[in-house]
Amino acid sequence: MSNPEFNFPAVDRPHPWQEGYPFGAVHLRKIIAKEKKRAGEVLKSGKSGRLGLSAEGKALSGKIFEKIMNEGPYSPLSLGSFWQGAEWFCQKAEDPAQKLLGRSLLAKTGYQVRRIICQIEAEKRGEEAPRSAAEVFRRTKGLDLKTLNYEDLESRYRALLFDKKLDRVLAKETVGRRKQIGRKLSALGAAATASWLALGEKVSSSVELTKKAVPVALAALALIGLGFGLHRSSLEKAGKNVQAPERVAAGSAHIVGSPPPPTLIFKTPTISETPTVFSQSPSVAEAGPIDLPLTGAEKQAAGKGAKINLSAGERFVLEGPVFKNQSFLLKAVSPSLAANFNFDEAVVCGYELSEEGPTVIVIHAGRRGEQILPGERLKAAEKGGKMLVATEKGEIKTSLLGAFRVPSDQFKAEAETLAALARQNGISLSGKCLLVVTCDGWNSADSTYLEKEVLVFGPGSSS
Amino acid sequence: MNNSQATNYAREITVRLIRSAEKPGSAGAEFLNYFLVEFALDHLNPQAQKAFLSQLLTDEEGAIDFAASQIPDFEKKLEEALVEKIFGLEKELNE
Repeated sequence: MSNPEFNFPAVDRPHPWQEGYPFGAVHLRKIIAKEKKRAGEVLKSGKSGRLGLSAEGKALSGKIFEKIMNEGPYSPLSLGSFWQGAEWFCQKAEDPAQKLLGRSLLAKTGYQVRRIICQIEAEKRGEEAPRSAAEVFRRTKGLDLKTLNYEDLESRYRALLFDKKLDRVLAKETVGRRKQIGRKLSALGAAATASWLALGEKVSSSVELTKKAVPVALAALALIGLGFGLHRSSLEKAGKNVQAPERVAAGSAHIVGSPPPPTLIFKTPTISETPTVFSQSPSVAEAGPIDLPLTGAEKQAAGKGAKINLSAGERFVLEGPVFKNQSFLLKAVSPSLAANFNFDEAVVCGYELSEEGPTVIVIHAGRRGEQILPGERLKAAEKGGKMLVATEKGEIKTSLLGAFRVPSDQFKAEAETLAALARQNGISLSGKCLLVVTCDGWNSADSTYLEKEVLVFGPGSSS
Repeated sequence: MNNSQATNYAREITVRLIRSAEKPGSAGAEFLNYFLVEFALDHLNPQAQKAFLSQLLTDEEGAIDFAASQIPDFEKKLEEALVEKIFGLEKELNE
């Protein structure tokens, strides 16, 4: 059998199935074109198995699928476009063996997608992943693969794999620690086997211990956010005094070699308080403040000191009881959304904190031309669900109030338009609140995604 | 992997560790519990270690409070030790 040559359409030649999926079509074409030489060799090598392919053929279909998953562009490449493209491929292929390979790829891909979805869902529900293909199909009965997109599926799958790997490493660490503790008990001469077993059981399952440990982990997260972990060893080697950032006097919280300290201290409002700028570094004033427009009612509600003057790029700190007296380093950008967030459309969610505090508006996903910016967590979030909002120094636990889309023309409007849109979409903003617009970039691989910058407005008006 | 990537990775690990710890009995919760206990034992003198362990069998929270009262800068040292450990995990996960 000769090496198959397929007549793929030119990039600029319109095909009905290309509409709306230009990248998907081109990408599929590229993948198949890359593999066609190899496919010919595979087809030459003979066929076996239920799908009519050799083991190598099956591996090839897996490889193509993997390529789609791993190398897929962050573009509107949907499974729908893949399906249409692959169906077209099957129709166009004249050689029955090529048709067979195309159909096998479809079947294999469909199964892989279903299997991955099953794995993700099982993990989420704490169930066992399905062990047989029949079980995979049973669990995904009625699932419309064409409504999925690779970006979402890939990121969810990667997250699943990462969690599993991390769990393995943590379990290994735990075993090591158990041994260490056992040795210490032996050294104390007080380690009767029964009491060690009881102690081990206690430590393993203790919710109280975890409650004590989680705030420590949150603080560690804050330290890592400021690059403390990486600086520490080098500072120690240099014989310098190593001090955690938050132990340094307020207003000068930074470590040697780290970026400049926060310049604004912003206190989180409590029931009786309105947001107030407590201090402002000279550099902020010199840079020229952004005077956020407030409505008359908002000015009245906000009271003295509530008007926020922030300069684009300035860092500031949120602190107060809502944040359990920890500080959260944020970065302000210009209030002009268009200037800083070059999106044509954004998906925005409103959140409230579990304790009283500011309402938080988070940009979860954006579209810039044909590029879809990361927003995989949006789909996982359900109304009322808990979610962490990442800042540079920590994470805030929040409840989702709702989500809505902001179209191009309105997205380019000022903050208050966004607030009004939020209200129109049933998101009730707290009377004395901050509106924070941020990017969900902490788990994003897209370096263009504004690197955790946070846009601060405030205070929002009561709804 | 450069410093910035390592920091991002360490942050990701910590976030996932915290999320995991929300589920009782999970790998994350167990790891943090043992980390806390081992850290306390490492920093207590033998007599205090005995008191700590015996209290741990009946009142875990009280045992940690006891350790915190005995170890100067307990919280700070613990946080720093955890950061160090997380960067260690980061290296291991990248191997």
